[in-house]
Amino acid sequence: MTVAVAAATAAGAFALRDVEQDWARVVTDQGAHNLDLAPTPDPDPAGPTGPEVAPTVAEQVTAELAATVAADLTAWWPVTATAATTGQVACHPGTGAPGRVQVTGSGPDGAVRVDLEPAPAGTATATVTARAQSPCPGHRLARSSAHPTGAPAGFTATVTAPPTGPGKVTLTQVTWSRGDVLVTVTAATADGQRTPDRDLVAAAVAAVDGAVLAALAPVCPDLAPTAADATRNPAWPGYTGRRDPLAVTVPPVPPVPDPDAPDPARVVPQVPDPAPVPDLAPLLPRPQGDQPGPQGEDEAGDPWDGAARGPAPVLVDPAAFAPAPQVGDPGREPVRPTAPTTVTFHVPAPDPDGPGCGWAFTGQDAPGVDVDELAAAREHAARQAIADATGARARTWVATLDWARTWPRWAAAKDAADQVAAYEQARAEATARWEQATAAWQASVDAWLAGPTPTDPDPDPGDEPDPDPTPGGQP
Amino acid sequence: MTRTTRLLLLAVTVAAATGCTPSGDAADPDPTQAAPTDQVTTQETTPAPQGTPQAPVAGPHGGEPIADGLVTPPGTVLVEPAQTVSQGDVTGWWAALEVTGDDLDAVADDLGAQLARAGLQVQIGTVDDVVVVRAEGVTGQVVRHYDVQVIPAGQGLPAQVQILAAAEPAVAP
Repeated sequence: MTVAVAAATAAGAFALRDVEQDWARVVTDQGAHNLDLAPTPDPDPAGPTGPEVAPTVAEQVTAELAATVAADLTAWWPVTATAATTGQVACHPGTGAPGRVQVTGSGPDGAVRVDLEPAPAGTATATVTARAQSPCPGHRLARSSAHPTGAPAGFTATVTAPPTGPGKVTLTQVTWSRGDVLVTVTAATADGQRTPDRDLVAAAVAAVDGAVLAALAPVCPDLAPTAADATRNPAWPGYTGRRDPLAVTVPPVPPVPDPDAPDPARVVPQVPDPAPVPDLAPLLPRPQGDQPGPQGEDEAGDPWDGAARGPAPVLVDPAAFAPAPQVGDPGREPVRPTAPTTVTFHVPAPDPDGPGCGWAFTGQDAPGVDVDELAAAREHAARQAIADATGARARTWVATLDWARTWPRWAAAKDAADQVAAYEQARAEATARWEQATAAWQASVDAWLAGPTPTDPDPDPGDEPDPDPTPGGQP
Repeated sequence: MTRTTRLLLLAVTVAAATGCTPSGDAADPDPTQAAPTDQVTTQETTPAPQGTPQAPVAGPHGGEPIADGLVTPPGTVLVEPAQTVSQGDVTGWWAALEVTGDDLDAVADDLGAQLARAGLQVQIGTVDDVVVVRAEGVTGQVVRHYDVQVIPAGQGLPAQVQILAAAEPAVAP
């Protein structure tokens, strides 16, 4: 298996590291035992061959990091050869800063590449985010997931290189940022194995991340700049300058008393009163010697005339219920609006030190400060804060006044709906009891027709079925 | 009598809240008849004719129009012109001013006077250094509410005035 790793640097974010096509082709074509780890050429003419300038802090740090990573490579990756050089590490030109380095290692089991790329102050996080959305041209982002190491910004991506050799090469890249350095670890497979050993990738990422943090901690004030910090850098397209958030307290909304609950209004008829139902009085068992069958069942009148009967059940006649009025669904209870307690606005401010690792890290000049423009911008921000707070109060106040009007309507609708629900519940219960009484009456008739039960000549009244609600008691 | 000694949201008279330079305008009260500005009394305002909405009437000092006939008091500039807001049966508007002078009480009194001249019942008080002017009145079938807060400078902001107004039907549907 051949494995390769690439790393890049940028300010404040992890970005999808672009893997050069030729590097992928090398991995595929030459196999694990003969990897060409030569760095890709730097297209910047002012790069290694440009005029001599004093190295920036970023250049010093990345150079030291390259040596550290190269020396420790064999501890976290089974390689037999390493190299650390300056080279092209990005397919998005113009986003980096001087100091880009590349560390590669190869061995019988694979190859790895680490790219370290300084980014203009404060732009690393935003750069990583942008690269996650836009991989190198010619590469297909097969899948991407959150960074597994807890870096402030980063992602893991699987990239398929273009089929320039005998076959495609699948590269696993983990890209993230610390301070103003974008780091990418890339692992690629050869010999037909498409997925790098995940344990090796994880080991490489952990080792490189630890080394980067240790190198940057002494020189970088903010190791975790946000994506928004990029707007503090004039080199970023969305430059706004430093704007400090300031939370302003929103005064209380004018008091609106809780509305009174509406006077209860009865909307449903009275539930009928219960009354004895003689027709559903159960028949008592016949004494020994009686003729089976109802008395005079072919004659008009009560066929059970003369039969002994139990007490009449006391029931509410379901037929006595009047139709309930139709009421609408009251809906959800209107909630009293809540006012925001603060509004936040952003005050333009001087930015002498810079975001992330600071202007000095990559040798960038601090943006100039126009005192008059700054004062005007601060005044504008203050006016906006006043307007925002006033608008927030007004919207909440109007909404609260409206709530005070709508809540009683909801409460009345809710009360009516509750009344109807209770009325229908009473009707349902009355119907159920009536049906139970009817069933009990029918059971008593069946028992009467069957004659005395030898095993239970004197049944316990408590065992008798419940009376039933069929008016008239006719089976 | 200082502002802090006032009871919260005490009613003041129309004349007491004037604080404007008399100009002979017939709409202005006679300054010679005005009560002292620190006098706290209650005045019965004349109810507006039913069905006739009555907007507040600005004073004679000729400030910048805000909304509903209100104008900016002396020593203030308009930060945010009137913005409308509505929900359900309630409609309203709001505007924000920046106070450029030092006399916050005068600003509150001027706005209170403008509202009082429109026939609204005005109350002025102080809550945590914020001068609060509240006014309410019924014009026709509409209940009108005003809330004016004069907030001292702080939190990086200059002294400011927040004006809130709302109107709702007088009778709940």
